[in-house]
Amino acid sequence: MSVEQRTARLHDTQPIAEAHRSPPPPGRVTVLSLLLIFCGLLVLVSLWTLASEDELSLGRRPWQNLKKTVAEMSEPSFLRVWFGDTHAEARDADGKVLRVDDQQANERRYLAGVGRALWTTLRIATLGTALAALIALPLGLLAARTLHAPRPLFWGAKAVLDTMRSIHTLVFGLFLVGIVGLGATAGILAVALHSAGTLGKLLAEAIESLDAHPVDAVRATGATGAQVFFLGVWPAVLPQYVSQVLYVWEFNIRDSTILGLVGAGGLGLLLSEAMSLFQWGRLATLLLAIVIMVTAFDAVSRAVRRRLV
Amino acid sequence: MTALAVVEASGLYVNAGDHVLLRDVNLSVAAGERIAIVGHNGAGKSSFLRAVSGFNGVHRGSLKVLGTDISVIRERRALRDLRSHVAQVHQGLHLIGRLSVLDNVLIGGAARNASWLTWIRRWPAHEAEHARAALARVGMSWAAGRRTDSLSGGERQKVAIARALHQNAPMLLADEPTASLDAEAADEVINLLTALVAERKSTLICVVHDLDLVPRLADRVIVLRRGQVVADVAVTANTASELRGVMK
Repeated sequence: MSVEQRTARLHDTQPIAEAHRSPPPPGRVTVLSLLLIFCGLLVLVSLWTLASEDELSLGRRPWQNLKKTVAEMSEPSFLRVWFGDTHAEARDADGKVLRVDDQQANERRYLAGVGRALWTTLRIATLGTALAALIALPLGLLAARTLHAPRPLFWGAKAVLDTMRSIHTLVFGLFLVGIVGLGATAGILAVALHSAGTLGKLLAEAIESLDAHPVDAVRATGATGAQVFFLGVWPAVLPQYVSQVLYVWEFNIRDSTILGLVGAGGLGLLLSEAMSLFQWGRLATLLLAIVIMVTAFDAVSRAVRRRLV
Repeated sequence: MTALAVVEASGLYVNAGDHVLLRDVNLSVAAGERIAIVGHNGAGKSSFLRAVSGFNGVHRGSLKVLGTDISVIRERRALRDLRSHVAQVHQGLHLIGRLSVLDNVLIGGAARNASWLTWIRRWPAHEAEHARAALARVGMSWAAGRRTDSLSGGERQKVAIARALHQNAPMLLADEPTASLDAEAADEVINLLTALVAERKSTLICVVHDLDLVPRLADRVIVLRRGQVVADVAVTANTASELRGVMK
């Protein structure tokens, strides 16, 4: 049966309601089940090969190790602000007093440092996301299929976005520390480069999924391409884009907490310091600080985003 | 074929991929005519309207709109110019919901004002005045500052008509302008459309789903079936019932 005959049957000789009631084509069901079988096989193969390479063991004493870690971290260092010893004596092997520490004052100083690092992390994420939003804008527009950018620009933008998205912030950070030196600048640029890839793709998809009717209606008035974009596409896509930028910002606040691990500023530096000095109490303090900041920011951002769209 | 023909299709074929949307359509619409196009879903009604406004390419044959052959237009500027002379009212789906009602009406004047200031929705004062007048004509002045997605279906359709008015084109295409409206709102929209078409002596080509509306909207009705014109007759008092017989 030719395409024409089939469509003619669908549209003309049958009432529409009946055409809708007919069972779904078998093709879709098969695709879904094939996908499930494929995923199941992939899981089995992964498990089997990893097990045969002896990569799936939990170590020698996982249970004891877990208990030990939990015990070490169950005493967050910030408690010393109130319960710390004001005359903690450090002695050498002969019992000679080397120095006397005020643990409370020490911890207060440390917490102030944590506060500064949190503030730096927040600034890195904010500036990085703002820069990413600017970079992503032209790239996202070029990569949106429905805007019909010239072919080479379309493919170029798509390639750049894919590359930026596939390189992790931390990897960008490693490179950038080598280029612009240690510190927040490297962090900001790392966040911006990776997030621009994500935001550009999200923007392109938001534009592609816009309802074509209103945009075509603007075009139908004889508007120029730029007018179609600014009067038809932009007002519809802007709130979505702002919401996406907020989401990526939220994500970046989480992500930039580890940027300091490669020397790109912020909390990560304190994290790596606490870990290499085995100061589990301080690690616990840092993790708590991260959880509180991220949760607070998530809540605010989610509330704002819900009002946007 | 009179010299006054605003739409002239001869041997018109329109395809979408392998799918034939319109086949061998021959018809001529004179200036000032009011035409209804009816047919089942997929019969090619909307495809014809899209072809007339240059959204569907002409596969074979020719289609002249306002004296310009659409199949040979290569320049975007020429196509834009043609489109600016063809106003459209669709199913109320085509307004920008997040823009104000007045901003939506102003879009009708886009082709006259190519300045980049229109990109940030800054229009010349006389345009704003003209748009407000169009809104007043359809009785929607009160909503000028409202966001368009806060309006009801009928109100939105009146805004769409105001945009077409503001566009000030000699030809009006309407695609099921009363679909998804309740009887009362549909009635109002149709009265408005017919009054405006009579006032400005514009040509109206209207896709109609509800056959009872045909006598109110049109003097001539074209029945499409599988992309072909199967009837092209003057509208009389019992056209609606005749059409039901043809379309069964």
